[in-house]
Amino acid sequence: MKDDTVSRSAVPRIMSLLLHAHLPYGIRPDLENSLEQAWLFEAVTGCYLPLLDLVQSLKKRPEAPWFTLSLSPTLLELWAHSEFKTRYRKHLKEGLTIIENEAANRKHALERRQLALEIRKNWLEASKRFEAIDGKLAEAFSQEAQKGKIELITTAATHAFLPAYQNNAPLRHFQIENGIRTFTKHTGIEPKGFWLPECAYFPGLEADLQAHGIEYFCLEQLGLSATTPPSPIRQPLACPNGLLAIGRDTALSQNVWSARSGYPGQPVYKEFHRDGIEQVDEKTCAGFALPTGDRLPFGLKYWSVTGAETKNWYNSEVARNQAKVDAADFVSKLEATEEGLIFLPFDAELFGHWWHEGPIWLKHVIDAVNRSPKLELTNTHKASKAFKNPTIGRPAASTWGRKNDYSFWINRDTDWIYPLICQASQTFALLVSDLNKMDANPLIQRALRQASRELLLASASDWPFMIHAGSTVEYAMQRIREHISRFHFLAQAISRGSIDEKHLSLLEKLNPAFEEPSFKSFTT
Amino acid sequence: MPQETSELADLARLIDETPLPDGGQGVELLAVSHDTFQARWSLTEDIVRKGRSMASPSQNETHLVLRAFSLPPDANGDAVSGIWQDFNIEGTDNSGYFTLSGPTSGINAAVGLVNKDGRFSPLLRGESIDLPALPVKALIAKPEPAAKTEPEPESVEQTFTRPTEPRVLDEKTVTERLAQIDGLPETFKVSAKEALTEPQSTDAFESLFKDAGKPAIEHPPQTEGLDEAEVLDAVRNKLAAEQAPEIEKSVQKHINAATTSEASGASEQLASQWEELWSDKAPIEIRAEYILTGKMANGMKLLLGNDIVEPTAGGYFVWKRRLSSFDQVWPILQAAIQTPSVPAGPSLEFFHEVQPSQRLLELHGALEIEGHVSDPNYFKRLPEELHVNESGTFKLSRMLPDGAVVLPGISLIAG
Repeated sequence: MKDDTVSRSAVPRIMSLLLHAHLPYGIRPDLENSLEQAWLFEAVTGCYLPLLDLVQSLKKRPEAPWFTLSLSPTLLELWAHSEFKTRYRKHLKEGLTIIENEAANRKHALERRQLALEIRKNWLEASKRFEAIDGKLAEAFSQEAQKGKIELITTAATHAFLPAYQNNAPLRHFQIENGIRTFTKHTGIEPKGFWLPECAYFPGLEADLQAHGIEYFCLEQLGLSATTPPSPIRQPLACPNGLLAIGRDTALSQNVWSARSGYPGQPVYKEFHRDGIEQVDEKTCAGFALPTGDRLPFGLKYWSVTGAETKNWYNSEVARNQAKVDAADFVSKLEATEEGLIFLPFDAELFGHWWHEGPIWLKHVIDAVNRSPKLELTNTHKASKAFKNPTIGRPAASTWGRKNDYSFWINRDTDWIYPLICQASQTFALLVSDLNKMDANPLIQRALRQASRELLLASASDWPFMIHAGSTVEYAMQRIREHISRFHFLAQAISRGSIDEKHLSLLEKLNPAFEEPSFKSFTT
Repeated sequence: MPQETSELADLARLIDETPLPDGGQGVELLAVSHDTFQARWSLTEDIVRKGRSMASPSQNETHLVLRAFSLPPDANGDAVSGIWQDFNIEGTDNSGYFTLSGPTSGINAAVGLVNKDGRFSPLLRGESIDLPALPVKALIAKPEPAAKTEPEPESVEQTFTRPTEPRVLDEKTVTERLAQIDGLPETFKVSAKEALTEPQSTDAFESLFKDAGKPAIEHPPQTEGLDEAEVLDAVRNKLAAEQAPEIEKSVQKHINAATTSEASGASEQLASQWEELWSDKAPIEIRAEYILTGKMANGMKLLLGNDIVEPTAGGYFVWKRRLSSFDQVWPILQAAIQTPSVPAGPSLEFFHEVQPSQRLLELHGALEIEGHVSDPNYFKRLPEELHVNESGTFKLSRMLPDGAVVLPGISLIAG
């Protein structure tokens, strides 16, 4: 790279880490336990609290934040749910009883009992961290951002797969606008960057983002390399409207996320896929089961990946050392990378949740990059602005999913979802335009807001992903069915002027996300 | 909230009974990959009848097509171009996956009638969409788009290519390894033995690379009078031999088989972590899925053997059966190659003549076959017409015609 392309930095490689934290919305007020709640609590204990701990441990850095964290609006709404704090505290308290029973159970091997004590220690730490911030995760991350340690950005309201709505501009803006509004409401920050759900881009999407004050967005590498002529991955691409597109370094990322060859697959790391809760008797873990009796994920992870069907006992000291070795290996690869920009986005939940040692690895990487004379670590906004005269062009349509195309979200399993969403959005547009002509009374306004919540929730990219991945298919189908049916139920009640206040209240309690959704995009 | 449980149950029942509005009439397009898109359309018999009378004095001399227009980069709005590709279609309320003969940045499409002179009369139009980019590696191997311009009336032919890189062929090793693969059809092994009797090295080498310089091997176009007996027999025989698994379990089995989740700390539950995972334990791996998709009327269920298929929102349903052993999939692959079908093939429609919302059932059957060749020596064993990409993988999708979708034990039940 020529010297004149990089501004303000004499360091040859600018490295930017971005962690994207997202879970689909779902706390069931009508049920004590649910799958979605179990996902949330597992991620809070394993990922979000350790991540916050890591950020809090970083020193203030006047030159730039250490890295960028994307918080999805649905995750922020889950953290803000009126039941969240009470239920998580109860989960920790009751869960600790199970863990302590494990540690005291003399029928278990000594290794298992010792590992149960380690898990207990982790849970107690989680509890301490949670109480230290009074359960206010959004506020805690926001405070770290205000101190300049991290950059916070966000994504579409319910993480909709935007290329499926290429001919539905109101729905796209509905997702983008409400995503940003929700983020700002919870963090007090106006984001400069936008995480495209699934890094899914189609040409022209940058115009939508610009309309909402966004300055940069992130893409898969193919989005840059498949332009004509190909754009270099080692610098951002300036879209014709001035927005900056920054591309993931696929080869370097693969060292981390590849299920086959990535670091998380090291034999000594903790095995995610095996949970000792399956071996706990039914009575003891009754509080951690679905109404159907199915066990929920809990987190009694005693085994290491091993690489074979018969798993070895986990050894945390060996695993911690391995994380240090892997971090050093990764940094040496970064230092040997071609000069210029190195952009590395990951799912935040990989660190600590899927990959138990991820936060340790991440801390070592941050420390080592900070010490390296060949690398400069910075947040994504600063990295995107660090290049003078970037190439101008329009990125190519792409995603960060398999084959980098849209086929994981649009296929024979899931193609039926999109006409339903588009049909509902057309119905909503008609409702809104009709109501604009009259003074809508408060009840109609409430019904309209609830209908818009159901439409947003139906559009989440999580549902087609789950269906095609074959994980929790029935659950995802059920969620789509519920949101679409509730939407039409409300839409028809609004049209007929027959809104039942009691029914509306029940639906509001079931899905209270996005308190004041904006439907401006359907009126302009 | 617990005290409200019964009220919630009542409300859920009420909501379930709310009829969903009919879908609009038009062509809805979804981008899938660099050369594939999905289209869904809804026509009435009345529109088709009127269209036919305008398109041709003799109404029998027209046929329905979906015409895909290739768009230049940065095309605006509903622009169309003179570069197009026709796909024969059937059914008034239907959907299908359409593979273009080459990559293009964007497309638009219309459903219409083509008369005997090749004139196209559009009945429904879509809105333009951008397609994902072709992975950069594959750009080198892919042929230029085979496109047609007005007024040529014929259907555009599908093209398939073979890998063009020279590969080292060791027939002896291939044959020895073939003999050791369990479940391999005898015909496959025989052809390998025959190969051994051919002169080693030179001839075999030449025969492997004789097409290397050609841009593409042409294949018969999609046919209308389709004889897919072989496909049907293979599907029926193989499916009848197995118990019908539940959809979720069936899919989950696939996931476990296709990934190394148990041996890895990383997870396949994150989109960014999905890879094309093949075990590489065999030189050729193939798997197939038989997929039934469709829509049923409110309050109906479908009984497939012992499976009860319940519709989701809008009456849509998906039912899949996965075949993963070599001897199950190989004959189906052969048959599918020999008898390509139209992309949106005939469907089973009960009460075809009525409005879409009143139809009791629409049913579409499709076969999706994908495979991976880990040893280049085995490329020759694949059907010549198959397009294998640079990473050694291939994928084939075929719609099944009337009859194929009617499995033994299929019933539509109320309630």
